[in-house]
Amino acid sequence: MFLPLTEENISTLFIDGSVIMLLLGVLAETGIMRKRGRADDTLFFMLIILNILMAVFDTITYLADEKSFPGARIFNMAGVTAFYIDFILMFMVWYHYCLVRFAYRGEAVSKSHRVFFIPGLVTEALIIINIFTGWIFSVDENNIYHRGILFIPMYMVIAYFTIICFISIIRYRTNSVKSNLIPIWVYVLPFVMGVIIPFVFGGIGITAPGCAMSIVFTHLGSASELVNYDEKGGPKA
Amino acid sequence: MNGFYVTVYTNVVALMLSLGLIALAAKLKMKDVIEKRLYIFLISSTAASAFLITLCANVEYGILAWGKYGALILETILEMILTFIALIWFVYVDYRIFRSPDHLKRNMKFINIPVALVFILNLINLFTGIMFYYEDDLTYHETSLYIVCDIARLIYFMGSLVYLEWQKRKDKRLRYLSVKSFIVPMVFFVLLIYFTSYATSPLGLAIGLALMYVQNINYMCYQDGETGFYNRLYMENLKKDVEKGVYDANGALVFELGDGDRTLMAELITAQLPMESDTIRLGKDRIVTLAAVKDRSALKMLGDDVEMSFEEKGLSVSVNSITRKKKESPVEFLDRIMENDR
Amino acid sequence: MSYKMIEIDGDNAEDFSDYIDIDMQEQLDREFFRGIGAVDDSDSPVGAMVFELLDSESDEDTKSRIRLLKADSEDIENVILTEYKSKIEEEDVTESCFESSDKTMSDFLESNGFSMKVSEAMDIVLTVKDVKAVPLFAKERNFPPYIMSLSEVSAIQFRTFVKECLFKGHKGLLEDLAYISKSWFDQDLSSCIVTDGKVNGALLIKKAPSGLLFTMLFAAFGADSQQNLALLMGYSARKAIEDYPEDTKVVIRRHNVMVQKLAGKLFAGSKGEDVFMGKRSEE
Repeated sequence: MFLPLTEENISTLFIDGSVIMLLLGVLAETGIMRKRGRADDTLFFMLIILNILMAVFDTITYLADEKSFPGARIFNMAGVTAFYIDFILMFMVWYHYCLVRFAYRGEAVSKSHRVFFIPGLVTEALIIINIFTGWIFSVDENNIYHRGILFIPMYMVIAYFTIICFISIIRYRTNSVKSNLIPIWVYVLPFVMGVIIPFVFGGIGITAPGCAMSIVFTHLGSASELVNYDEKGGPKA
Repeated sequence: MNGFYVTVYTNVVALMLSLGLIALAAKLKMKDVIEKRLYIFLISSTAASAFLITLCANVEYGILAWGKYGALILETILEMILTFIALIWFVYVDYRIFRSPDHLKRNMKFINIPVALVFILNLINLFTGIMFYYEDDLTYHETSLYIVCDIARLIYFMGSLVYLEWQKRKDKRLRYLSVKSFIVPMVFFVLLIYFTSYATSPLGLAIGLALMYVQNINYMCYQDGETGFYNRLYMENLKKDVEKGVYDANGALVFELGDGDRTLMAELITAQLPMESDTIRLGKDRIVTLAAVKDRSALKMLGDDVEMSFEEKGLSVSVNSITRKKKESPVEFLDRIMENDR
Repeated sequence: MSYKMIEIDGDNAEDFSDYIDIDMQEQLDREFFRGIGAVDDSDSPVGAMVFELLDSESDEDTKSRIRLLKADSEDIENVILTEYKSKIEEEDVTESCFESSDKTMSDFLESNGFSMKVSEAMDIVLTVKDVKAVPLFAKERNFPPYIMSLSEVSAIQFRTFVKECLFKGHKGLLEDLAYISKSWFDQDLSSCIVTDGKVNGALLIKKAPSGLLFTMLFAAFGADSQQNLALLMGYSARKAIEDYPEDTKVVIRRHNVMVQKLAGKLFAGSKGEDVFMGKRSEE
């Protein structure tokens, strides 16, 4: 068979496919109903697109991994590289989104926050350099994926963004007027599970759905709070 | 282990998604408690079905040694829950359309027929295997009678879509309500079952319910949190509907609120208003109710009742009626109402 | 001879009983009905006119519908018509119209600038026997508990229903629906549908002093509205059959397409009498 599908492949196809469907549905719903042109709406849109791309790259890597069809190794390498670039970028956008949504209520973020993005930018540069060095990951001649010496530091950057997103949600939520106390774990747990489980166990593609759920829950949670926050007959436009 | 991982992963994702939605929905402030309860019931049933399918998979693949009868009982409960979800979905859509508990009670005996049939057949199946059964090696088989379950669910799901579209033609209030976000993923995943034999329907249900939640939240952004009335954003959309000819407004009552608890004032106004009136909060103290009728007497009648109810509670309100002028278009009329706010 | 013009209302309508029948006398109590009476030097009534204002409380053109014009002579009719003209100018009436089987009145109005044609009346007059002949109403049946007569519904519930009707623009034959109290309608013959504690459908029937039954408002909203309309009709029809003699007259005014179709279906073959219809611009 040109592209033999293993049990893992089929699972990944189902799960990544469902993620894409969920996110496209969210995009359609939010696009049709609300066009407010706010910064957080644009960031949310970017998050959705990045998550969809993550699901696509994830599918590519799982379909190509350990296969022997012509170009499989290139697909695998390209897919994983794109996946990690997308992954880090998504966390940076997510952090920016949390700031805009929770701290700045739709207005421009202060320049002092830019310093927090530096670890992400450095990691992105290292992922690109990795193509030549293999410091984060490599794919050998048998098309098998291996983790490199900088793999754990890369995940620490992801953990760093997770923590600062978490802190910004907690810190700025308590300052919001008529805050609806939606459990914080609803935002954080899915992507923590989606990130940690593959890190620990490997070979299980639930990163994309974990991130997707967290994005959707974050959006729904903060939208719910905005609905109950009234300044003058409606949400701040 | 063919199919085990697919079944387990997809249903674990469905379970996580459902649990997250339950947590969000439970904390959401919704005026209509019945709607909220129906929605939470739907998600909880979806979570339960995802959990049951995971359990079933574990039993079928021998990870849990519950035997043939354990698998059969689990599968029977699962079939009943899936059909029950379909029933609750139909009830949910019906309630969203009419918001009438009496209407539901009056029609429940007809609405319940398919689910009652499925329940009876499932109970009979426990002893006879007329719809599905397990062999000793835990291989699952379905008979041709199993189609009754599918038909029952199809009646509810597709019936809800057709019913809503039909009602939308009669009632312009329903123009923002859509169930396609739910039906499309649900149907997609149900079809996947036929082509792949993997039990993925709870994931379709969970995605559909998540999208319905997104739709609800987006719709709620048109509502003023303090009073529950529509907000200025809604008025902008209304103008577009008026331009398209979908909506007509010929008269309006304008309430200028005095000092006092806005939520209480909103309740007093709501108690006097016809159920389906478009009432919009245009400003901190300004509320407008739109009406199809041009008669000042009709508006006056309503205004008098509101004034009386405010007086009884020791609150103050001033009520004015505005009607569309002879050569004034409906859009110009709405602009006039909004301009008076500035 | 000189004649004095006076306003006729519910209090003095009986004085003009030679010109205004008892049903029309009762109408003069209503918000948009106006009466002009002519009396001679000895204050004896010599003529009367009753007209109804339409769309007077909206920004649409106000119209006037002449319901009755009767006097001892044409001279008196002319005087009354002149007074009518000044009255309708005060109300900004832009058009007058009439519909009557009275040839004398129509001839007179035609000679005073009204265009005139003969047409089938919007009203059809049936009897309770005709209602009983309809297969749908002939047999006794059990009605669900949520359909009840108007007497079982509170004034607040009725008022909420009226507001609902007005908001949706359903007035039936009642221009002054906002001003009419529940007690004006026949409490037993009129039927209501109550859903979730609110009236969401009603067939309101007025029993005139002469014994005629008029269907005044027939509307239902919300869930199962079509089904409820049928139930309302059935309920009131059964009540009429049970409580009224067969020769009791029922008047149905086919004022819109829905009522026309319904009347055509239920009472096929029933036609309105030929009447004179006319109108005149008052601008």
